[in-house]
Amino acid sequence: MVVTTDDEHLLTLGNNEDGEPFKCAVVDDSAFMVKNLVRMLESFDAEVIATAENGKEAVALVEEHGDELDFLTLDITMPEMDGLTALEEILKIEPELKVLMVSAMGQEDTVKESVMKGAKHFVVKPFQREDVFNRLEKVLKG
Amino acid sequence: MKAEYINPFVTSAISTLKQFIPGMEVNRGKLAVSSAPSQSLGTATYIGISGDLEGRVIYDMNRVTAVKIASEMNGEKIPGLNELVRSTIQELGNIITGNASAKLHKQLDGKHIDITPPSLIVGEDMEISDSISDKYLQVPLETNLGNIIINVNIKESS
Ligand SMILES: [Mg+2]
Repeated sequence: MVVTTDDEHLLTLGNNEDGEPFKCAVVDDSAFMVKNLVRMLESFDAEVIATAENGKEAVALVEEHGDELDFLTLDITMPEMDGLTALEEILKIEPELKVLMVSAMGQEDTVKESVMKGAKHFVVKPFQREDVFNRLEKVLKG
Repeated sequence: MKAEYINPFVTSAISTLKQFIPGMEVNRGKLAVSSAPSQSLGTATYIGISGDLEGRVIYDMNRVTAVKIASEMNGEKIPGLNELVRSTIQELGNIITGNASAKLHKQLDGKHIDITPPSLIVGEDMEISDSISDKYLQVPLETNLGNIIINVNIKESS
């Protein structure tokens, strides 16, 4: 989604417990979506330290960067390994990692399954910028 | 195939396009039945459906329309059919199909639908052939950026 609001700079996530910008990673098989999410998260003053384009890469990413991450956005429909499978693997490695699902698969049972498996929140694509921000704030500060 | 299965795809396509491209004009054309194989317009996004329903959906448009839509969705003028256009058009198909699956889930009392990642088939004079099924339901969307034809073939899983 194209972000063109005038109040773009009004939405900030602020800093984490260490007084630094929140560090995150973006997982999505669409380069278009990764580009948009990275741009949006950076506009919230978060720092995107890594991206991955399928579930297997996401697991490898968390093995490498898991201890640095404050949160991660995770798509569901991806090749190699889907996001729900990756979610379980990721939380085995980093049980405390805050995972925000960002997916078009908004079927009620899929949302429930994600939360049952340990995701903190679910954003259905196409998303509104303010919506993602509000959910992230809840995930990070709640 | 039941005609009610195509409606969620059409309404999701219209709302998704309008959310990504505010001010886009989208009109729904007439429902038609086509026999496969049929000729592609040149840029076809193919998504498989499984679970309680099975089949496939294809979003078809020409190259010029694909580039125009991707340019609008990225907020930049893209000169031709590059990787960003491919990835944008595929994700558009993924989002429309995901939203449609949520509608079908409600409409069909909790039936669950899985979808495959999208694949993009590029090439004019290309035929979309299908060995499994013989008929697609088609709805054309007429937009100010060109036509998009939604092809759906879904049935209840055996
Ligand atoms: Mg995906």
